[in-house]
Amino acid sequence: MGDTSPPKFPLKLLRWFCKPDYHSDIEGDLLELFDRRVEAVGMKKAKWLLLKDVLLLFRPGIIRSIQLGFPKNMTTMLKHNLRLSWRLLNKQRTYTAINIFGLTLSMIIAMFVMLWVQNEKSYDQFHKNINNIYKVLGHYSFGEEIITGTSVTYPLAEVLQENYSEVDKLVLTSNETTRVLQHEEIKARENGLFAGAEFFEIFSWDLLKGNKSEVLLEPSTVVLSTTLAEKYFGAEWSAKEIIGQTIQIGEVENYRITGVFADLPNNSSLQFDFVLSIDGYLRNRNYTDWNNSSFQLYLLLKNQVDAAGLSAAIKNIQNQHIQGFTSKLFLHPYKDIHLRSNFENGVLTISREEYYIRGFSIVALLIIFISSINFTNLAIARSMQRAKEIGIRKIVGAKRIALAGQFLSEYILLVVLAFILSVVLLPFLLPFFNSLIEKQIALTDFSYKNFLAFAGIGLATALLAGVYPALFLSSIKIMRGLKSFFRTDKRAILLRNGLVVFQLIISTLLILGSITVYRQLKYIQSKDLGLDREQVLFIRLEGALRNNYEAFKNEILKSPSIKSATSTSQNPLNISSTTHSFSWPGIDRTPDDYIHVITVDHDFLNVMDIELHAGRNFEKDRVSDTLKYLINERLLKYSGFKDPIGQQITIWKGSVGEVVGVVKDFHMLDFYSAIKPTLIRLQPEETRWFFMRTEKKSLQEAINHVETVYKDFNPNSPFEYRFLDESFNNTYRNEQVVSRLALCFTIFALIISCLGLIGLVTLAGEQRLKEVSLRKILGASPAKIMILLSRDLVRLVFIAFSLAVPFSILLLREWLNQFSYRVNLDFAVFALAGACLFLMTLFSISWYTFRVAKTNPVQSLRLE
Amino acid sequence: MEQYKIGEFEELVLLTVGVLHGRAYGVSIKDEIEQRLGRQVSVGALQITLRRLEKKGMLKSFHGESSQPRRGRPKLFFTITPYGKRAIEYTHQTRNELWNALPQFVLNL
Repeated sequence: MGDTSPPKFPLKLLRWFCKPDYHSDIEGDLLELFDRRVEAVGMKKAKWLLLKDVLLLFRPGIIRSIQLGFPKNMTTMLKHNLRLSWRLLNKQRTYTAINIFGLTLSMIIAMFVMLWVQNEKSYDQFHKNINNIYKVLGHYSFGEEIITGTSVTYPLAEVLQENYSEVDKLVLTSNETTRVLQHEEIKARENGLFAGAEFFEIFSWDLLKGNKSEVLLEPSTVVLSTTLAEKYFGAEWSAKEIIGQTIQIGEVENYRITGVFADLPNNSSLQFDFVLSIDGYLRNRNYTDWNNSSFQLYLLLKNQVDAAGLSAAIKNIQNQHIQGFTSKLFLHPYKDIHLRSNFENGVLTISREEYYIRGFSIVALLIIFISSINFTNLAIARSMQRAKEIGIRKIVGAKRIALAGQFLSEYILLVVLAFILSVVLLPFLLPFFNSLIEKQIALTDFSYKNFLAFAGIGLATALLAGVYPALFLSSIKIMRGLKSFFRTDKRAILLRNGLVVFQLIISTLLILGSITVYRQLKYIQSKDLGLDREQVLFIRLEGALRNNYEAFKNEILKSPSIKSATSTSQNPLNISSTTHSFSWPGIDRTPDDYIHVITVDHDFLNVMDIELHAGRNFEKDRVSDTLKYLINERLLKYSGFKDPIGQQITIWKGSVGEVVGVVKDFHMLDFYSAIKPTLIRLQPEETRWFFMRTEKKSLQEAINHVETVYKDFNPNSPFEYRFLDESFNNTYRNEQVVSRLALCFTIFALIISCLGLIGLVTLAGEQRLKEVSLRKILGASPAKIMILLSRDLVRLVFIAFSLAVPFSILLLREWLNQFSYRVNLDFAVFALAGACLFLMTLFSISWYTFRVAKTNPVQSLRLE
Repeated sequence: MEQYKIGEFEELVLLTVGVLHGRAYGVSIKDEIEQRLGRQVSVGALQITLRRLEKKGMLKSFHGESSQPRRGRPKLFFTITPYGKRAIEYTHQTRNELWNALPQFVLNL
């Protein structure tokens, strides 16, 4: 007869769930049946039947009541554990302080990043209809490139309204724009937009006065924000009859106020202080045909409409009406406008903001990791001291699970303390973080969900950090624990070293990251742009200034504080206007090629300090210069002209001009983009911005002078000026935020890692005090002893550093590749980071090793 | 009047325990029911019914000695308590009364 022993698993299962009282005889029945069945139907079937029987026994009358490993005296044990933990923590103050400080710091960072992420995600979500609001966008092909734009034509709205029943409501708006508002004596430039009648119905702007469906219905009506209402009508505006009053907008037009809305929340991606009825935008302009894309179009779809299907249906509407136009229209959910509306070559890609948010979420997570590692490591390192305690506890009958519970309660107590501290400290640190990321995250945005998430962070930290040491410590064998020479398990040491290395790798990555971001930013700020952005002041040319341009310019130039002045169609650091329509005799191009065009006044090169590569500048006394062009080196290279001077270039289907000179390349786009072929044309009448180069020492004088002249010419507009370098820096705001945040987080991470190292070396020192004393007696020098104590850790630093370098090269390359112009990752950076890490390690461990090396050996040996 | 809440299967088990008189334990009860009624009884269903009846006070149990065929596990024998006896008597009687009340022609249908 073969092996007739019953299978183990079903019986184990039964033992696990069955009430202990019932177990033995039920098992007996099962076994008796089993043996009988083996003979009757064979082993295999008997096994199956046994399993089936056991599974059928799994029912309420048989299953034992749920009983975790906790003993009946749970509350007593809990009290005992807490009291014990408290005493231990109190006794080992350095250890406690290191842990709590590190945990608090990392939790604060995590909480803050969470608030930040939440803030970014909350954008626009306050609209009631958010899930049904879509914005019409279009992909436009420019040669190889597909550019995604938001501007659509006016008649498109009519077509959608009439032919597509899926559309419930729609609204056309202008771009956000600025206008001068005036009521009685008060006059200022404000931000707002023009919008169609259903603007307040589709979006949930909080309308305090006026009727949602009527405020923008009639022509020449305006809705103001409370801020503006207060500004123009006094603090008691709500008591006054503000509805029906008129306010002057622009130079001549009067608008009737039909409503007041509460100031927009910060987390709205549309930002405006007033809304004008759209007729004001259409007046005197032929915007209403298919040739002009200057509107933003928002749709409110009916419930359960398939937006993707509608997207496909409307794709070609504009192309049908405009000849030679290839745009692909589509609907983009408005809820995604803030974070997920970055298109590259027609494909939705992750936006820079989201990229950075994700990056910092990961960093926050890593910082939590670092502090958890400290926690785990210190706990393992202390196992030597606690081995005896554990041994004795086990002898008097403590079960492993009770011991693990005791240790866990100690760790949880620590985490709870840190958690409370970080919740208390967060409000105080929030303004600092807000200034880092240039946002206004308020604690009023705080909800119970946040609190739950915070608690989640805390609990996750506790478990992450506490579970291993609790299990490890409780597993110590009685005899090993009681022996006088307890040595920590090799595996635990290996784990500890691994964790330290991991921690140092993260620190190194952060150091390298923040150095690189910083260097790239410095590079952007210090790279020769090809033009001089310092000392350049600019204002908007509008109204009376535009009309009396020459006189204004002459007046401005009268002050010695102004070196030179010019005007342009766009900011020369962001020449975004492009054209496909260009040609010259013998041109070799594809129809998709395009060049950038900027229109300027004389003196453009002088004000901007752009150098000539060949030929001459525009000259004032030559009247015919209005049909002359300057080109940049890229355009020269692209054109392949042997002798560029005198070449005829036609742009915009008919505007023929002669190239008189070639300028050296300057950065006419941001650093993410390469310098592109650019044509500079002279046409002072078509410029919109007025640029002045001031004398270095008399900047204030220059500003005062400009303001006086401005007021003379254009008393109706408020005077506002900006600096070219300031507008340049604003382009890289994201990068500045990243740089600051990276630096801040790196410092935090370094502090936490240092604390960990200090903790480790302190414990190692305490444990080796006798050894150190003996060595000293035998003649070891303090230096030797310091080396002895720090050798292990320093070795770990080296390992970590050499592992971190290849990683960081991969990561940083990817970040840098976004920029067309970037710094290299050179050796010096790594050397600097290495030195940084090494010094940090030495600094944090040497103060302790030094103290140990200096102790009098007698003190520690005397007690033996 | 006393109420005996007792299900069909419970009644079967009670009766079988009585039939087996002193030899009633898990496997023998199971065999008996299967033989007499020709229906499959799972250990789970039987055990839970036995325990429920014991809890209701209709059965009581005692451990027999451990024996070889059960790999050393003891048998748990069940006997009917007086209360259990009353319960089956009651059900028997009520069934009879119902049976007797049944008009003859219904059976002849």
